[in-house]
Amino acid sequence: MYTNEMLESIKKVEATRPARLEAVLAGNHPRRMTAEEKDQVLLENHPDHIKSQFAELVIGPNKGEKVPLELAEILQANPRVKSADIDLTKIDYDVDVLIIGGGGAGSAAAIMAHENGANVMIVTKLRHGDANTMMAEGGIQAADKPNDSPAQHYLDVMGGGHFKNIPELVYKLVNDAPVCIKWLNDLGVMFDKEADGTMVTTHGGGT
Amino acid sequence: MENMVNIYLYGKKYEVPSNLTIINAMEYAGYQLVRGVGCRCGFCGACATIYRIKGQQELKTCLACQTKVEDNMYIATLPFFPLVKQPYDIKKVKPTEQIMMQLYPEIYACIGCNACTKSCTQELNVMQYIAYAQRGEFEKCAEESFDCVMCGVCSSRCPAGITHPQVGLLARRLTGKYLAPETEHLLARVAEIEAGDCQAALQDIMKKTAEELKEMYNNRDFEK
Ligand code: SF4
Ligand code: SF4
Ligand code: FES
Repeated sequence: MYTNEMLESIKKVEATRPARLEAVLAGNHPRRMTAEEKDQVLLENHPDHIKSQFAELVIGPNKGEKVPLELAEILQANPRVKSADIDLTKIDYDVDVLIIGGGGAGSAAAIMAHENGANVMIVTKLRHGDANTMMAEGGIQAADKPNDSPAQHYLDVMGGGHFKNIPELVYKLVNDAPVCIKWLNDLGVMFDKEADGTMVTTHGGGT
Repeated sequence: MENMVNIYLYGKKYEVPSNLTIINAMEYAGYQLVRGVGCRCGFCGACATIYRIKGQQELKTCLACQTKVEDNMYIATLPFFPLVKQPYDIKKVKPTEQIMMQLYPEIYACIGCNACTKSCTQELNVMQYIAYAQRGEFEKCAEESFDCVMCGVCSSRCPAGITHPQVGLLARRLTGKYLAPETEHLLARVAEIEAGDCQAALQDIMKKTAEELKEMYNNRDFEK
């Protein structure tokens, strides 16, 4: 279901497709962009890089940090509930662990906490699972193949994060990733596999 | 000036641009949507919506984020279809025909009317995947239902009271856990990690400075 404007735009892509296809078939693959070229494209087009899309936080623990305008608006808005209206002598739900959000991360946290004996509650806007994890079916990263390793994964993560990541957290991520894939597999997540069980590798954008 | 159409939201008439989806048209008309919309790109299934075009008989169902408004469309949204989900422990169930009989016995009452397939927002062959589930052919059921977004539209049409998306989900989990081939390289890597065999390389790379890492990163090998 495309609008007329989108159909026009599609025509432009289609008009040049045969030429590009021919080039690729003749072995002329488009050249990889250099790091500088990538930065330039991002600087000009990506909302995370356009300076005017950011505001500086004036309150809170992250005061002084730059965040997207929309986030600043939410973080610095007046709360919807008035603290005077909250009566803590009448508690509707009393739990050990409150999880905000019922996507993949929230659900995994809930299962783990529950298995360890905690009384857990998830709050989520929509139905359980109506979240970003549902849409991220393109892939999940873990160094689970012989030609890959957690150390290699570490390098990829650091590069993807412009070498700003907290090393201990990246270590935890890459070292636990294969274990988590196995955990998900054992919970019944259907991964794309070859007939012999080998995981299908796909390459994400920009990798 | 854009082309405008008339739509009726909960009975009230609004004039909206014709190229909007139902979700965008509602926001254009001033509604702030809190429930019944999530991803806005046809994946989460939260926006199942009912409509009818003036002068036609049929009550239609769709995903509101994936459907363009039409002239004289009567639209009513609902936060979700309150479908049943049977509880089970994936570690205890087994991929046998009996499991469907125990958890979702109503699938055996299917009368073959095909209303589910006709209403599916993802154009899945819903009646077919229910038939596979009846026969215990869980891998086939999993494949056939794989693109289900759990919107629940099919279930709202089923005279047998079947909860199709949950039946498909059970089949997919049984397939993922019990029927899909074991991934040897994954098990091998997990064993390596648990034995501490990946530690040396990790400790080594963690000691590198940002400059050293940058050098390594810019010269890394690409897997084709
Ligand atoms: S099978 Fe049913 S729940 Fe799944 S996408 Fe189709 S209509 Fe929605
Ligand atoms: S709508 Fe229900 S009864 Fe009709 S074919 Fe589908 S599952 Fe069977
Ligand atoms: S909002 Fe997610 S499918 Fe429509």
